[in-house]
Amino acid sequence: MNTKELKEKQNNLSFFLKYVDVSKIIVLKNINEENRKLKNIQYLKTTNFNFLKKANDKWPDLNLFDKMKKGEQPKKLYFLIDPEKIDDISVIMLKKLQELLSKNITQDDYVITFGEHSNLMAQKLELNVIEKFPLEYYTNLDHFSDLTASIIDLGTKNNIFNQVEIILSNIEFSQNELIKRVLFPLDHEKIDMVEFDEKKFEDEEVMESLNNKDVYNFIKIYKNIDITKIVWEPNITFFASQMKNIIIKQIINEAKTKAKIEQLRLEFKLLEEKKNKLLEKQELLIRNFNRIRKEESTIQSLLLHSAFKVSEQEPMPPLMNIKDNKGGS
Amino acid sequence: MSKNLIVTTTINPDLLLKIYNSNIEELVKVVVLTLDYKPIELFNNRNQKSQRTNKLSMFDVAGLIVTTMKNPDDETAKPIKMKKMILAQDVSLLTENNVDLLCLGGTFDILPNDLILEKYKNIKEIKNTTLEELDKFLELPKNESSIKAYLKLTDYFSVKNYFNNNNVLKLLDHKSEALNVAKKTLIKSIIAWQIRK
Repeated sequence: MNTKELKEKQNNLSFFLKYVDVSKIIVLKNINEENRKLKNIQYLKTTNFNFLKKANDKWPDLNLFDKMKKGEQPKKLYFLIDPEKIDDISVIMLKKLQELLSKNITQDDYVITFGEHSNLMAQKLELNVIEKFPLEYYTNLDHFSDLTASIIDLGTKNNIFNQVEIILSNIEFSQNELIKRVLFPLDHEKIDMVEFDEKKFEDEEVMESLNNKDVYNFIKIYKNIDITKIVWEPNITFFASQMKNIIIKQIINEAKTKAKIEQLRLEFKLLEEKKNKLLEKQELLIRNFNRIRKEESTIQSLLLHSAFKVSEQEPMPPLMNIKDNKGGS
Repeated sequence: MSKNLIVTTTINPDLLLKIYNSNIEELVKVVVLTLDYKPIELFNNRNQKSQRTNKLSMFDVAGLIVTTMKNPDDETAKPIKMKKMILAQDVSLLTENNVDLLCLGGTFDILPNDLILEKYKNIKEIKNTTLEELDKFLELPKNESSIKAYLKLTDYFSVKNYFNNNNVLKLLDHKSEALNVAKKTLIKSIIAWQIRK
């Protein structure tokens, strides 16, 4: 390999490095955007939940949160979701899902699957799959959360099941576990509450962006409602069931956004690894380059040296030939 | 700018952009059409002195007619009025002394303006419009008319079926059919509201 080739290689490498850098920035930007969405949804969810809790505390006899009565048998329903694409990582996630299924889910539980892989898995384990949906139902979020919320609403009201959980095939890296959320019954401890800090919110620059302004208004109004002075239309139980529906949808949306963020984080990590590898390669290349240049310069000095020797003997030194040799070496 | 009227999409705040951009547009008026109540008109610049009872209403489905204004304060640009007709699920309306807060807690469809414009041309046509003709504006199976859907529903609520039917997914079908029937009725209400004006 000569210096020219090495130089070309180095150019290519630095191009790729820049490319990776740009990709990293794009991924970071996406992560920020998703984080903003996640925060908004969490604020809204927490506000809704607190409001419902206030009503529940005021009228505990109404059992607005559908707490299980004593002696009631738990009947569980699980939603299982496929990974969005199949690659090396999602294979690991599917393995994790299989572990979880064989450990936690019994044949008495109901299972609804979204996507082929989880369905096959559930059938192998002989779980009670009551319906399989294609994965596209999950990818189209609005429809998905409406659908799942409707199933929960109808199933719980008709006493078909009384506990619902959703399991996504995405790993939550901070806990090294699949993303799971309890959707029914709604429980204070199992809901990831994100309290809204008014002062901090007002300072933040993001306040400028459209959604946060609306979110802010929403929270402020709902926080200050005096529930004793409110007329519920048509009645409070209908309100509670609709509100629960909305919170369930928000939890699903939150889980999905979370999954997206984890996916992006993974992408970011992979890019970082790629960059490190490229940097290593570059270092090696530079070392190579220096070595070859050193070799070349020694050859050159040797040539010059011999040329001097020749010039001492002959009056006409063949300098031109030496130059040609240099260029071709 | 006084804000008496606020609209949010609580499941996904970003979806609000589909309806209007609150940075450059201002809400003027929202009409809420429901199956159970009289049409409710909400204005952004309402007389603040009027005392009202606090009320929180919830609707399974509601038809909304949202009027917004572009460039409300800009004197150099012409204000542009926009009207959007929306069918929304899980809608809540909170009425407080000074504020009306409308939350869309589910999916919503924005009806194409052409639908309404077409119907404006010939009012006679409206009277004869069957619910089936409105099918294509909802994501419904084409082979099933709303009448059929409705019949199925009443079928379902017969005593015999009611006790035997414990399959959630069947229930789900019935619910979505009920929703579709409700939505179609609301489309008619929306058109009727537009014509009445």
